Amino acid sequence: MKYSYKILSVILIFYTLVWGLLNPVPRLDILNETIRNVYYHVPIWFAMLFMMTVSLIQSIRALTNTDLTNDSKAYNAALVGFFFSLPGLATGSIWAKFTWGTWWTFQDPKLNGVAISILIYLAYFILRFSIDDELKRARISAVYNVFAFVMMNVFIMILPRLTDSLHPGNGGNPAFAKYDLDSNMRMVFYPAVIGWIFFSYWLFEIKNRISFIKNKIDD
Amino acid sequence: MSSEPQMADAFREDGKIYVVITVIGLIFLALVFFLIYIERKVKKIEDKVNGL
Repeated sequence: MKYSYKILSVILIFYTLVWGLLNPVPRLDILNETIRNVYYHVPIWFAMLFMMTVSLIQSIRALTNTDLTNDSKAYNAALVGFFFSLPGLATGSIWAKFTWGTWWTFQDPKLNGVAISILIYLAYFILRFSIDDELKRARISAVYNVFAFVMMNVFIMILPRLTDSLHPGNGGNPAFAKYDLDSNMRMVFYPAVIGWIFFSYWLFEIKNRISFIKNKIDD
Repeated sequence: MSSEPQMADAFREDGKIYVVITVIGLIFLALVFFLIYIERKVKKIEDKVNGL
């Protein structure tokens, strides 16, 4: 039971790596074969969003009690989420170069939103390191983390939908509704999302255990 | 007149795509095994710390 989600995550990701390259995809101009990036680029971001949600929940729990493990878990989740955002950015940038024609465009609110969100979470890490008192750190960073989560959602989920965006599903562009028509792609995309979310949770769990050991040694 | 979007059909017909899939798959599995190795190490240290 303890390992089942880890095994499932490896099976699902492995399946998407193999079948994601083999299965038939819609034949579209400009995108061509790069449409397969949907299986790899998008689930990474979903995993990041999932980890930030875990971080939010842990921060809220940290505010309701004085147990420092919640604070530690909130930090670990945000850290894992942060490390998922970096390949998310890099893969998006590569994909953009060959479809939109540029590594980075300031025309797209989603790109700018993501950049701001990453800075917001970097500020969260810096804030944590700047407070020595453990209880104080737990409280202040938990409050900040709730704001960070809300701001991230405003910047990457709400604003890009209100203005023009190159991303599907934003600024009136079709998103999954279009891909949904293709059941072949859905058969890889959804397992990939689940697989990467479980994988991120696996990393989160290991990080938590290391934090636990560290605390135990420090005491 | 619309031309059919270009896809890597020849690459697939050659069967070379399986070479790519094998490489990607092996890299992923290697990383997973490394992660499992790290987890086992953590478990060992956990047991040690809990025994203190």
